[in-house]
Amino acid sequence: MINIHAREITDELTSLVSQLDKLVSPAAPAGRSGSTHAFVVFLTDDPDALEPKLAEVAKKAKLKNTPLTIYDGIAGHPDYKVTKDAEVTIMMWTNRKVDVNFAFAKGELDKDAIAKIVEAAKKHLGTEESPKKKAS
Amino acid sequence: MQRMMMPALGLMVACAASVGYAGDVESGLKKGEAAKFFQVKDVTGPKKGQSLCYR
Repeated sequence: MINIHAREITDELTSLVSQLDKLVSPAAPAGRSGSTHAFVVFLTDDPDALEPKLAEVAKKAKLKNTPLTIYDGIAGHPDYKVTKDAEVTIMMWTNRKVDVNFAFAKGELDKDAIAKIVEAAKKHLGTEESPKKKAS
Repeated sequence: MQRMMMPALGLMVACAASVGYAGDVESGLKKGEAAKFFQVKDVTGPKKGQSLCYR
């Protein structure tokens, strides 16, 4: 599973999500999913204003597999420890245990960083197994 | 003495700037930590309009 927590829509973030979208399977809600999925959580205090913008981003980036979602609260869920200085936080986990973490302050997510994240994602997706596969 | 220290100080500042690479900020769950249940509102995915957990 690849998860991105973000506070701003930027061209760099859109590029990253677009590239990851091509690597993953279609998303499914928890409990019915494997691990080769991705979703993006936008943290905001104004969900109503953000929703149409996300729909536009998904359309523009032609996202097929990666849902853009909203968490109501700019601070984010406390269990996920997203700090206030981080504009973008990327976590990758297998069987709900995190094995990759990247975090970027405003303006730090550049082409080089995106390339590193995509490489890490390929490695992560190539080695992880879904719980279903593991059980069989 | 002061003249000798200035270039060294400049070098230190340059080095400090060069290590300020993307990803310096700490955020999110660290390696080995558990991704817990949390609900989000799906805006563009298969459950568009619903609150659910994609974890």
